Amino acid sequence: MHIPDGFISPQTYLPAAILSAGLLYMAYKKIDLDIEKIPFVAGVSALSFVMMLIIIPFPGGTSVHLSGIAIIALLFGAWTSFAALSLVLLLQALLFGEGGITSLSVNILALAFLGSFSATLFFSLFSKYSKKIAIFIAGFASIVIPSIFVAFILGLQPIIASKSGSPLYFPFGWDVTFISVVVPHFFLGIIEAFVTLSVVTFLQNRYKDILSE
Amino acid sequence: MNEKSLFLTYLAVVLFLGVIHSEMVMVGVILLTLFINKKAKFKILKKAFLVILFFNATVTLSYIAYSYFVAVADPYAMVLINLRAFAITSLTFTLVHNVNLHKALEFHPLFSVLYSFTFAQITLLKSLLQEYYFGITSRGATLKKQINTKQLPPLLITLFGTMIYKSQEQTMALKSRGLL
Repeated sequence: MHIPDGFISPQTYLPAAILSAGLLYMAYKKIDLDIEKIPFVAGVSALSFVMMLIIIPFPGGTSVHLSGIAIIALLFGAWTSFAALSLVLLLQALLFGEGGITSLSVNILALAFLGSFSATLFFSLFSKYSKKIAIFIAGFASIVIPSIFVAFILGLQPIIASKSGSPLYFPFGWDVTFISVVVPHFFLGIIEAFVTLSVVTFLQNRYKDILSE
Repeated sequence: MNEKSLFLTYLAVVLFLGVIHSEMVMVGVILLTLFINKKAKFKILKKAFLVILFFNATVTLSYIAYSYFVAVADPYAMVLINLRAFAITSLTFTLVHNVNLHKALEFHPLFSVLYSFTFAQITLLKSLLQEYYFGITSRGATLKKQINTKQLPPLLITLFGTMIYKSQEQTMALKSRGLL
């Protein structure tokens, strides 16, 4: 879902950079980063980075990699997840070129912010009915909500940044982006939901004491 | 130039490339990165090319196919878009190759410490993951790089437990040295 370099216009990534910097400042204030929290946030970032390297078989012969957004958000809280995933996105852009440096701010808003907060929001909305269903929906929302935002931002580019009708950044409009981005992520969201349910339930039982601190 | 100045120059050039719509400028920047990298030029060129191939090729091919069926203003629009992406990606890899990012981020102690700790933990957890793959492969598992649901819990215990242990150890190290 990472948006690569060259697809996002400065009209989009500069305001997004200001917004994501403000949100990151808020996140570090909320987490209250002190001597004990810094290694922990770094550890959570590393964990989510490595979780994205784990590949799960997908019915039909292909495979998908874990995103782990909802797992991190449900285990450690939305603000910690947002701060940690932002760091992961920066490292992925710098070291592997996965998600560009110009699109980093949009990726942070989509994956780290919307992914983490939609997971915790949907979990809190549904946890009064059933905890398992709430975790499942949180995992699903953490993929689908960011994909809707990514589709919106990509489809916006031909409208706000073109020269005599010729696209300068991402070339397709909303009629294409909503189908090509959201539909595959709807199915990926279902897989992520199952993985989130099994991993969160398992880790919460196993590390009850540490996670309650 | 020191690390901090190089990092700021990189950011300025990336911003410049974002607002310039000239293929020649993009090609110029790509050639400049080749000149800067000297011995590693082909390695960085190959890495940047693979990134563009992997992440941008689908959109490029879709646009070419689309332009066959629908009249578009500029069928060659993707040339500039891909060249810009290639130039920015080459610059990013040049920065990572030539600049010590730990030093470049020293202007903010929190960024520097977070970057260092995250990098250290990633290296540790990645090697654990690799060892896990080697472990299951050496025991006769036919899966190559995939993990099935039965294999996931023990792997997660290892990763999660190591992360918690390492974080606590780093906190103690920071406290004992009075670094923060």
